Amino acid sequence: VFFHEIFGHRVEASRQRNSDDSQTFSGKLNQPVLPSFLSVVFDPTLQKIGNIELMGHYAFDDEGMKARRVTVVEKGTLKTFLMDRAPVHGFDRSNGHGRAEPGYLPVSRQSNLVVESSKTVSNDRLMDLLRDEMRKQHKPFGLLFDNIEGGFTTTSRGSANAFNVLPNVVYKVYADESRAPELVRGVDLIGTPLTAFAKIMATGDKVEVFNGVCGAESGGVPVSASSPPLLVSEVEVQKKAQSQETPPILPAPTQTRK
Amino acid sequence: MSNRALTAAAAAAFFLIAGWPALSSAPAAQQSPLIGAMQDELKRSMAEMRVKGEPPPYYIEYEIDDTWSLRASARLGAVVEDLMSRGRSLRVQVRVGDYSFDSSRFVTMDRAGSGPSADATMSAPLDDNYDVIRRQLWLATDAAYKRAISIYAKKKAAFQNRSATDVLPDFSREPPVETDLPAAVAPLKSSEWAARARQISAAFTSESGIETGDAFLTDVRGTSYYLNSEGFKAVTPIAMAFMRVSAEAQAPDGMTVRDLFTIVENRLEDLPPMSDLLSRARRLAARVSEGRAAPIGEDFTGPILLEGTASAEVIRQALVPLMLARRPPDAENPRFAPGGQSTPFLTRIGLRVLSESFSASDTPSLKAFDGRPVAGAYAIDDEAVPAKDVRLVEKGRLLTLLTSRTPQKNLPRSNGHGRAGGAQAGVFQMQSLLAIPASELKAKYLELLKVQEKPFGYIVRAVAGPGDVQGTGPGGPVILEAVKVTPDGKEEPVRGLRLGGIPSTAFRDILEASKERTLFSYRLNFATAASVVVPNLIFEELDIQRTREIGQKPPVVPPPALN
Repeated sequence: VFFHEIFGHRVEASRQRNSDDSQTFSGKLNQPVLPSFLSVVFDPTLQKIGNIELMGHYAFDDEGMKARRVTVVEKGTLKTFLMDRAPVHGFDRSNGHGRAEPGYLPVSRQSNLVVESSKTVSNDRLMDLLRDEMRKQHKPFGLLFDNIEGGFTTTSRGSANAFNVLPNVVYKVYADESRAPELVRGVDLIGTPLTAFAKIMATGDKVEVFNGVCGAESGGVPVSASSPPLLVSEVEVQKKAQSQETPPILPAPTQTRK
Repeated sequence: MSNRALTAAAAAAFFLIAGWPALSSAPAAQQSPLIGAMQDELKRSMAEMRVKGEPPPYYIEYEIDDTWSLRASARLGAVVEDLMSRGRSLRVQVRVGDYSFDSSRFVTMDRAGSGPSADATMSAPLDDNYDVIRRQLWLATDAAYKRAISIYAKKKAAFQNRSATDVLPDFSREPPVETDLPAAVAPLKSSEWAARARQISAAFTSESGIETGDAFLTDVRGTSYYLNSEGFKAVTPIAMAFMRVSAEAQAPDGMTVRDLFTIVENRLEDLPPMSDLLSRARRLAARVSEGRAAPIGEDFTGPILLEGTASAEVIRQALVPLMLARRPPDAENPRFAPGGQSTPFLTRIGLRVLSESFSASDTPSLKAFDGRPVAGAYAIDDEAVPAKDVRLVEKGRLLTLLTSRTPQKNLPRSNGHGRAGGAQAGVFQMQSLLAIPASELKAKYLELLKVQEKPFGYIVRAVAGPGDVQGTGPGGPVILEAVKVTPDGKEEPVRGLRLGGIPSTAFRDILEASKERTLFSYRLNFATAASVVVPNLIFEELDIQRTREIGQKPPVVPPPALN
């Protein structure tokens, strides 16, 4: 979800055409945009990773173009965009990513996002690195985001170009290894895209898949994002929106009628 | 109110309605787990639900509507929709305060536009699972109570700052009634009705020049379960069917030529026979096709003859709303008060509102008229109050208005017309002591044109319902079928007209009415119908205007040839 929101939406070609869009990556072709140990591919031809089926799989896109694997970032360098049939500067052909919900006009959208890393360590080792970083930054604890329910981002120029990622399972990990991680609640990940990428330090070796439905101007389309765990040296968190409602006044009815 | 008081009040005042014809033969009434769950949670909430320092609920109301919905449509002989669904909706209302001043009828700033009352509608489980239904009632009641407390506090604060004028109670006291009219609901086969829609819409392929012709059918049937803390309890059938047949063509000048008819019944099975529907569709097709060549009518002010459904639609849209004792909610910020004013007839009780020979009434007990079922007839209203037949106008003078449990000035009690979210009509009837046969009405009209030295007049035969026709600009009802008539009796079809706004005083100057009356039914919401039974009418003066429609150029290439 982190990559889908922060990176994926910004390499959709239709966003490079809209003059109101921030076009984070428009001028960055063939320049480094991610740490050099990371590559990002979008592969709608991929049906599964391991045993997990991928929702972003399709044979043809919604403009009738054959689906194909597109390497958007190779070893940290931006190579291309996700293309529908509307050309942008430097790219005049579709690469099979014109997608839409039935009833909408297709625009360039994501498919199966796969983050590939050449700097992987075991997940245990990643935890050690996290603790090292805490000590270096003199922090008593770090956060481990284990599961995520979704996220959103804005890419227009008129608004803050920020992302929100909404985790639902978060652990507080202490620098002191003898203290067990504690389950905590009520935080969201926030930030701005370019800063966030620069802070990725390393990745784990166990790839995990998030299947979901992505909503944008051409409706909801099924997508997936797969990535190994990421160690990020710094990211901002904010308190989750919370309801002011008090718990129910009466206890739940329990008696079953005979 | 304590539980004991609740039971006592209920026992003292119960009476029972029976014998209303149900959807089909009613099975032996079996206590549904729905009613059981509603009763148990209502009792518990009234007795125990309290927030310290805040008023307890004085009134709780539950309603679960269990419905089968059918929707089928077809265009030019091809099925477009064929849907069948089942659903249960739950509505909970909680009031705090008392009958004279409570948490209802108030729009707070944070909820502006989202409805005035502290009630919530959500879906309920289809399975008759007592535990799950009760659990949902528990949460819905809790939420509704908390909202009621918050609205009540704001309402009290707002009213403390206002000088009291015309203080009316918020809710009327009514004797509790139990109504038990269970009906076995047999769902329809949507494919059969889709096939009929196909057949009817195919009528439009026979006429040249028609761009599109549609037949649309819906049917909602089921059971409504209603319970409140005063001891009202009702199990009643839900039954409404709707048919709309419409066609559109384009005149050479780009104006859209359209015509349609709608039929509302209790059930699709009550529709007129297919042979009738098909011939109506064919006549509609012929009118639309010929209408393309008809001249555009002219603005006109003067006597108008309204016939058949045109008369019924005009009465339903312009006169019936005046008979409803509605009371718009108050608002925290009066600038955001939801629009809508009380009827001007509120101050005209005892005065003449129709021509002297006219009487009017609302008779929800009228189940059949002229051998046809009357869709607007009902036994109890949406507040479970038994429907009363109400004489509204005698010799042109207004006697009273139609009321719900929201009191209005000098109208403190409900007469069983709380329907579809406010006071509404059931079966509105109007007639004249001096009625003449419909065949003589045209001669009278021509005479009138001669006396007034009018070179021509209009006979209006069909007008559109609200929302039936879009994009025609502001004004009164859009005319679907009208002829220009000269004093010698010659008729010429015209297009592109609508009625102007109809003032409430126009009905005092109705000159003539026919003996024959037209039954016409219309929808109040997805499950509630109302009917009017009215004669053909000659108004002394109405405005007719041209529609202001932004015309599109006709299609660039001719239609593809039909196979």
